[in-house]
Amino acid sequence: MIGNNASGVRTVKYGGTKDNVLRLEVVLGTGDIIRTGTLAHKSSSGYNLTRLFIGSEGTLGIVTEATLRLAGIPEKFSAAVVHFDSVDDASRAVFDIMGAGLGPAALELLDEKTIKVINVESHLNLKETPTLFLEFTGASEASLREELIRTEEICKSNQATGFQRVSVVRRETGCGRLATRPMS
Amino acid sequence: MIIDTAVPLSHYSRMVQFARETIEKHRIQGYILGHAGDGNLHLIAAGILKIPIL
Repeated sequence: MIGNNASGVRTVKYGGTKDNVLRLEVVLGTGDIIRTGTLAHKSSSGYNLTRLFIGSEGTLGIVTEATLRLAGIPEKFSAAVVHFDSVDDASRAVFDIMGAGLGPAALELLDEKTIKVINVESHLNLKETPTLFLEFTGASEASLREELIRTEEICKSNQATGFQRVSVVRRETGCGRLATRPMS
Repeated sequence: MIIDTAVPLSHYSRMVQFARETIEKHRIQGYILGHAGDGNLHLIAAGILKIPIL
């Protein structure tokens, strides 16, 4: 993950690997061992060597120890599955959702053919249209409800044809698996 | 062939449109998906290569 600065579904909320590494211990080609970074979340002094090594694909040294930033586990989750007639409409909704300051924990776009593959592979019955999957996390049901209402308005103004609230959206990489459950 | 790319969100819609038009124009089996909130797009083009790649 450090070697290629990995990122994924929740990077939109938590950032990529580069945003979550505080310290590194690295063995250089000369055999020297160096330590970069600090446990403090803020430092104004010196070069950012930690960032230099993240994504360097092993070309600068071998990482032998890493200290990572941890995030709290959110109290509440909500999610939505939004259908569109075209991926173009869906992509415009993405810009408006992010521009509105809504902070989704996941915002994924899949076209109708990808949904079809997921349906076949995971024995699901998702509507085969261009789709956005959204997840929100927060401290209270009320704040999540507000975010979903605003998100629905934005999606509808971008010609969304369906907006379904669900309690869980889970997608594992490679489209191998995806599960949705209607909100109880 | 898997393409994994990212652009500023202000260009996201244009990139998605370009990916869709490219698939349609060349009539390839293409899948569009991505971590949209980060401006990320994967274009997966699947099929049999008739022209060998050197």
